[in-house]
Amino acid sequence: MDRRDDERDILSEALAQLRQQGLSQQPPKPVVDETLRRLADAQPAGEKPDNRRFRRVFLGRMAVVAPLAAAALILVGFAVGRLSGPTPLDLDELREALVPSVAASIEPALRERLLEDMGQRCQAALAHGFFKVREDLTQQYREDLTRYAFQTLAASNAVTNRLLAEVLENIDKAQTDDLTRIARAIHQIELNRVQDKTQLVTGLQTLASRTEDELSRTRQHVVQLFTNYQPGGFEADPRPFQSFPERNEP
Amino acid sequence: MQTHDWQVIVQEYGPLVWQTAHRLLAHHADAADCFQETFLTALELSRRQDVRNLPGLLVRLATTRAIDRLRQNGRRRRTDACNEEPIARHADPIDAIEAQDLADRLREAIAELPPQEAQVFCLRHLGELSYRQIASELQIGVGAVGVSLHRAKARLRKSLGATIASDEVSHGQKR
Repeated sequence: MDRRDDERDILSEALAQLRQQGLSQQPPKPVVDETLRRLADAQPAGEKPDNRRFRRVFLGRMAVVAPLAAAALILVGFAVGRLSGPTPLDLDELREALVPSVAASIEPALRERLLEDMGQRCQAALAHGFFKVREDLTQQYREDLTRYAFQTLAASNAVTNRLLAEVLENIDKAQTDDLTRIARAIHQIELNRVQDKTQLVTGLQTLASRTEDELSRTRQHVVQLFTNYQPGGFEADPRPFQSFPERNEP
Repeated sequence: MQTHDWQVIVQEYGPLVWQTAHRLLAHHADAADCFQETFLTALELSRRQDVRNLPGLLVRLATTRAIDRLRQNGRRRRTDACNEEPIARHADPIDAIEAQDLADRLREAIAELPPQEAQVFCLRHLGELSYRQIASELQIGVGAVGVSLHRAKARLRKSLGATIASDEVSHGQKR
């Protein structure tokens, strides 16, 4: 008996689990669309819901239109019958009798309609004028703005050009001054060089002349030395070697 | 011949058919196929004969298609079901897995039932149709419905008990 209860419990539990699964699930839209498409393909043309819907709509409209058309036909028949009947009254008298009353009844409506029409036209004209004035002002504002921008830009360009010219002039002046100073320096260097050269030449000439004098004096002394030399020795003529005091002269 | 607006019918009874198919199959693609076949078969039937109980017919067709597909697919169902059915109603994951496993076993056991018993069992316990409605849909007697249901329950109890016992034995051997 216990075993039967267990098995029943197992079956009930499994059934409960199976019932719980997928309870909240809805068919996916692609599946529904595909099903509807296949159903539409499988249905004959006359059975398709669109045709039936069209038929229902058509019948519904006909149910509304048909009574109206019947009533209109009845009215037209009534009017034709009345107009085609005999006219015992004189038309001129009838017109004369009806004209004042008709005019009196129509005139206020005509006036009101005319005033209303005039008011609408005035409003339309004012609205059109307002839009035109607004467009003109907008155009004028844009033109003024453009002109002002051009003028501002031109003035700015002029000032910029003037400043650039001044800058260029200053640069040229500075370059000229620099070149002048450099030329002066070069000229001074050249003068110094020429002066140094002149002094060098003078010094060399002095040196050469003195050297020449000294060489000639030395030659005389050598000649004198060889003249005073005797082969017997120096003891026979023990004349001391004469010095040259001139050499120490300035 | 009856004329039906199938767009309205699909919108109205689509969730019922989908739940019937998805409960038994637990597989999205199979449930989608079953969904479409159910409505197409219902369309064909509605051309040939008058349909008195459309939701009953749809549930019966969905159940029949789902059982056929369940029987064809065999044990593949279990793996797919585990992948497709997220476990969310149980706080304990172990309980959730056991519940899922139990539902899979019941599906397999239903697939092994004879067709009429499987239909009667599903219509009664999943479609929640009365004996009379089941008899009307399957064109059998009410008594036959009761007999089929009784036999189906007996077979399912036996099948579920056997599978659980075999699982316990296999688990014991592993231990």
